[in-house]
Amino acid sequence: MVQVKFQYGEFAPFLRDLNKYLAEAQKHSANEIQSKMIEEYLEHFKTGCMTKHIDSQKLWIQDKGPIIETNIGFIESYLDPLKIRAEFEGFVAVVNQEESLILNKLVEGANTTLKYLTWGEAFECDVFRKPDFTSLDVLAFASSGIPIGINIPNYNEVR
Amino acid sequence: MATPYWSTHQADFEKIYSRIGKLIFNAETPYAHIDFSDKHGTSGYYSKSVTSADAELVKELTISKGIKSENNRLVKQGDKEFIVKIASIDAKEEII
Repeated sequence: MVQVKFQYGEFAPFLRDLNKYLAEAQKHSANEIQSKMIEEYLEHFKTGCMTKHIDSQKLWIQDKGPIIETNIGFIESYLDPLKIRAEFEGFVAVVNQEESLILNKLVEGANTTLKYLTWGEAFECDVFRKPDFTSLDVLAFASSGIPIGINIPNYNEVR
Repeated sequence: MATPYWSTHQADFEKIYSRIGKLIFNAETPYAHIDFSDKHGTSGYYSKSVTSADAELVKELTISKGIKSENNRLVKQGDKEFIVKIASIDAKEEII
């Protein structure tokens, strides 16, 4: 017989600080979607409920073309041998409009380009859904490493 | 070339570094490899006694409870007791 206890409250002092500053940031939201997104973040870090973070990301993707791009949470699971536990990251960046225009050309031509790739259909999704591809000038990226690019959210529920 | 913080925080740094410095640069088994202890690796997400089989078992139980694991880590106490430590401000405990 195995006993598993789910113990909430890990990292509470850090998350209390985090929520304090997130609540301050919420006052400066550029729009209603961002404000609602931060509301979900606050609830997620308060309760530890992952569904709330998924909800924050559903709102995050609805916020099209923000000038300030941010994301925060336990996101990338590369470091877990089981690939289910994720590392904390939080970043703030300014969108580079000119470079993003160039990247968007790649997205526009994707359906054609995908046909020329050297691997077969088995390695691609059935339907290509256009991502919002932006180039960011990063102001701060708090994590163990700073990536060259990221593809988020990772949730299949949101993709 | 040292920053001003070296003079104000050197003692703090030395206190922390003396505990973790050797581990950061250790290339011996199991420290050079991210994996479960039974696979001769180390992980910050699992306490040392958690085996890959343990982790799979807890994963199945956790999924069956509808809980996603991005914000937790797994600790084993004794032989058959596991604690899933979840990041949150609010504290509470649930046993399954």
